[in-house]
Amino acid sequence: MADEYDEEFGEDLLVPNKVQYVFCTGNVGNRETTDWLKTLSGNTHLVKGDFDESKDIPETKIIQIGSWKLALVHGHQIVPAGDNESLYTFLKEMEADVLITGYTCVAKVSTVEKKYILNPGSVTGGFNGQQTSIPSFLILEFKKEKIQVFIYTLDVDVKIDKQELLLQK
Amino acid sequence: MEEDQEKYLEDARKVVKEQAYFMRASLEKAQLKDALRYSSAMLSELKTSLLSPRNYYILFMQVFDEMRILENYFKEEYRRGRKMPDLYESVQHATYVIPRLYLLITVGSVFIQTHEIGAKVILLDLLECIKAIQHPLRGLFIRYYFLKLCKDRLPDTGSEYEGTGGNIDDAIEIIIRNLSEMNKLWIRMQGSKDKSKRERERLDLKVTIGENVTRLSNLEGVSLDTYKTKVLPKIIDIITSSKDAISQTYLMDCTIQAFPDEYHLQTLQELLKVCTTQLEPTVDIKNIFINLMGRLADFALNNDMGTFNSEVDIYSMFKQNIDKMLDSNSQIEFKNLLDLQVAFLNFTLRCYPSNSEYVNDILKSCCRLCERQNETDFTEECQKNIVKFLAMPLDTMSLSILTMNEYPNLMKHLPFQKRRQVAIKICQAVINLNQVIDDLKITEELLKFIQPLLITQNDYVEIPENEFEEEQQLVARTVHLVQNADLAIHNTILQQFIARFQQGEINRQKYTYPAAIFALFRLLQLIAAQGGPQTQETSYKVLFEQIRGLIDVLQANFPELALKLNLNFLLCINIVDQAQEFDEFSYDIGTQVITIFQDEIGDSNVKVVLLNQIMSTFAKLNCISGENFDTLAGNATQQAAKLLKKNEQAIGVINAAHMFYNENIKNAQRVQECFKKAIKIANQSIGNNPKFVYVFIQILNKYFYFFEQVEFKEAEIQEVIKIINEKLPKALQDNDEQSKKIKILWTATQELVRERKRRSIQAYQQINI
Repeated sequence: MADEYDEEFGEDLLVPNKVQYVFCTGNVGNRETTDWLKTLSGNTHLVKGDFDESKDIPETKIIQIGSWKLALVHGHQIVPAGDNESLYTFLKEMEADVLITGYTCVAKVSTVEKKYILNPGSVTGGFNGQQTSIPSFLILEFKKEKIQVFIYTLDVDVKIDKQELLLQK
Repeated sequence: MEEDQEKYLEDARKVVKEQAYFMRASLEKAQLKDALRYSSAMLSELKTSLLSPRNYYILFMQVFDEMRILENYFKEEYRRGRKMPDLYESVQHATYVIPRLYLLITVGSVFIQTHEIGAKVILLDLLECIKAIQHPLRGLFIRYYFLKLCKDRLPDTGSEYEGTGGNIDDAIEIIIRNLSEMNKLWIRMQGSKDKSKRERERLDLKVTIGENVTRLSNLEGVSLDTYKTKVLPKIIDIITSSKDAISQTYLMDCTIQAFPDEYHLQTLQELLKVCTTQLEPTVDIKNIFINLMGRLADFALNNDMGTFNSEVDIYSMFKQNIDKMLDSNSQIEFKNLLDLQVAFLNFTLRCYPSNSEYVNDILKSCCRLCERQNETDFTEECQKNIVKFLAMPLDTMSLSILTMNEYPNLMKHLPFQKRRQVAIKICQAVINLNQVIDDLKITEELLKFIQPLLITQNDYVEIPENEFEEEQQLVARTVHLVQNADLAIHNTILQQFIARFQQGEINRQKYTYPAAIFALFRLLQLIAAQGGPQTQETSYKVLFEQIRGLIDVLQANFPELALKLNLNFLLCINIVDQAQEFDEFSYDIGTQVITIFQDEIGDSNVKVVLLNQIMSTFAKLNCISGENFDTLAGNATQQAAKLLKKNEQAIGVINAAHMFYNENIKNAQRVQECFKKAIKIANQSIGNNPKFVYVFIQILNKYFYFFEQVEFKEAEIQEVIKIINEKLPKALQDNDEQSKKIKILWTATQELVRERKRRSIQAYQQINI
C-alpha cells in the first residue's frame, strides 16, 4: 500500500494509448486509480488482490495474444507465496505459456521448464516484507514467437533491464 | 407589426432590385445620366422610416452591393478621361439629400484614388456634408457607408495617400470624428419609450460602430506611442462624454478587443481608472476587468514573463482598482464582486505563479468583503465561488498556501458540504502534485482544513456511501505522502495524522487506519535501513505497540482486514527483528491471527484463501523462536484439518508443510507428518468419490516439491501413484469440468517426472508413473 507512482517513472509510457494492453495483478486501492488504469488502454485486465473488496473483479484471467496464452492471478492464493514451483503448477493447470502474478511486490522474471513466470513488482513501491521497496513495472513487447520484456525499476534512478522469452511448446 | 415589417422590407427590396437593374442597363449603354437617375431612385429607398433597424440594415447591404457597380463605373470613367470634379458636381444634382450624399461619398472615394486632390480634403468635405443627416438610423448608416467606402483611402503612414493627402493624424481625426458622430446617433436611437426593445435594436447594429475602432487599430501609423497619446485619449473622451451604459460598455470592449495586449499593458492605469471612476453605474465593470485580466494573462503566458513583470506593476494596478470597487459604496452586488475576486485570483496565479504574498493579499480582500455581508448573502453561487477561491491556489502553489492566515477565515463562511468540497480539493491537489508532506506546521494546517473528512463536525450531513469511500480513500492516499529524511520528524508528522484518525469513527478508520499502518511499516523499513531507531518515539517497541493497538480497533468490525493487517505486521517485524527480541510479541500476534481465523471468519471459502495466506506468511518468518513457532505452525495446521470440505483439508494440510521446511527452518519430521495426515484424510474420501483423485495428484506434486530435500519412503510415494492409477479411469469417465482438470494436472505431473528423469536426477529414476 503506497500512494502515487513517481511521476518521472515511466511518464511517457503510462499515458493513454501508448500500450495496447494493461495487466494489473491487483490491490489497486481505490476506484480513481482503477479508472485511470482503464484509460491507459482499451484492454485493461484486472484481477483480485488480497486487499481488493470489489465483487466484480475475477480471481484469475486468461488472455490470448497471438500465439501466446497468458494467465493473470494476484498470487495470494498460492502457497508458498511467490514460489516458482508452486506457481508453475498453477500455470500448468491454467494451460498457459506465461503467468503474470504479483503479491510479493518484488519484480522477477523466471523461466521454469518451457514456461515463464512474470512478476512486475509494485509500481508504487508497496510494502514487500523486505528492507527496501523498489517501485517497478514491466513492459512486454509481443512478437510472433517471442516476447521482449523490459523491466523498469526505480531505485534512486530509473533502470531498464531486458529479457527475451521464446515461445516453446 | 411583424408582418408589416416583412412587407415593407419586401417592397423596398423589390424597388431596389428593379432600379438597380435599370441602372446597370444604362451603365452598359454608357448612359451615365440615366444611370444616376436610377441609382438615385434606388438610394431613395434608404429614406424610409418604415423599417426596423435590423431590416434597414438588410436593405442597406443590398443597396451597398449595387453601389459597388456604380463605383467601378466611376473608376472606368476616370480612366476614360472624365474629369472628377465634373462628376463630383453632377451627382449633386440629385434632388433628395440622402441619394445625393450617398452618390457624393461614392464619387469622393473614387476621386481620392485619382490623387488629384489630397485625400484629407475630400474626406473632411464629405464629413461636413453628411452632417446634414441627423436622423439616428439613417444618419448612422450613411456614416457607416462613408466608413466602408473610405476606409482604404485614408492618409495612413506608408499609404499612397500620405503626404499632400494628409498624414496619420488626419486619418485618426477623420475616423474619430466619424466614430463620435455615429456614437451620438446610436445613443439617440434609445429614445424614451420601449426601453428594452430599443436596447435590442441598438445592439443589433453595434458592429457598425465597432468597425470604426477596428479601422483605427488597423492603421499602420498607430504605434504604441500614437495610441497612448492620440488615439486612446480620444476614444476615452467619446466614451466618458456619452453617459450611455450600452455605448460605454461596447466601446470599452471594442477597444480592448481591437488593440494589441502590449498596448493595454502600457495604458492599463488609464483604462482601469476610467472603468472604476468614469463610467455609468449600470455598466458591468466586472466583465471588463475579467476580459482584460484574461487577455493579459494569456499574453503574459505566451510571452516573456520578464517584461511583463518588470515594466509595469500590473498586479498593483488591478489590485488598487479592484479594492477601490470593493470599498466604495457602489451598488455592485456581492456576487459580482466575488466573481471579480475569483477572476483576479486566477489572473494572479497565472501571471505570478509563485507569489504567495499576492495570493494572501487577495485572500485578505476577499475576507474583508465577506465579513461585510449578512449570512443570507452567501447563496449557493457565492459559496461555489468561495470554494473555487480556496481551491485554485492549490493547483499551482505548494502547500504553503495553507499557512496563509486568511485561509481559515474564508472557510468559516461555508456550510459543511462546501467545507467538505474544499477539503477534498486540498487532498486531490496534494495527491496530484505528488506533494511531499515533510513539514510539521504545514501538516497541522492541512489537518485543520481537511477536518470535515476526518471527524464528524457539528453541521455534518450524511453522504452517500460511494462518495464517502472516495473521500476516505483520498485521506488514506494523503498520509502516504508523508516523508522526511529525518525519521524522527517523519514519525512526528505521521503521529499527527494518526492522532486525528483516532478521533474519527470506525467507519472512517476502516480506510484511514490501514493506510496509517502501512505508512508505519514503511517508516520501520526506513528505520531498519538506517541501522535502527535513534529516538525513544521511534523505538521498535513503541511503534509495534501502536500498530497492534490500531489493528485491534479494527478487529471487532473488520476481522478479515485485521487478520490480513496482522500478517503484514508479522512480515514487518520480520524485517527488523533478526535477533528475535520481540519473539513473545510476534508469537502473540501470530496467535491473534489464528484466533481471529477460528472465531471471527465465518465464510468457508474465505477461510480457505486466508489460511493459505497465513501459512505463506508463517513460512517466511524467522522472528519467532523455535518452540513458539512450532506451536503456531501446529495451530495453523490444525486449522487446515478443520476446514469445511475434505479436499480443502487435505490440500490445506499439505500446504502446511511449507511452514516447516523453508529458508528459515528445516523440520523434515513435521513435513512427513503433514503428508501422513493429508493422505489419511484423502483416503477417507476417495472411496466414495473417484474424482477425489485430484487431491492425490496434488499431494503427489507436493512430494516432488520436497523430493530432493526431505527423505520419503519410496513405497509411500508409489502407494499414492498406485491409488491414482486405480482411480483415474473412473474419474475421467464423465469428461466434465472436473475430469478435464484432473487430466490436465495428471499430464503435467507425468511431464514433470519424465523431464526430471531425463535430467538424470537420481531420486526420480525409481519413480514409476
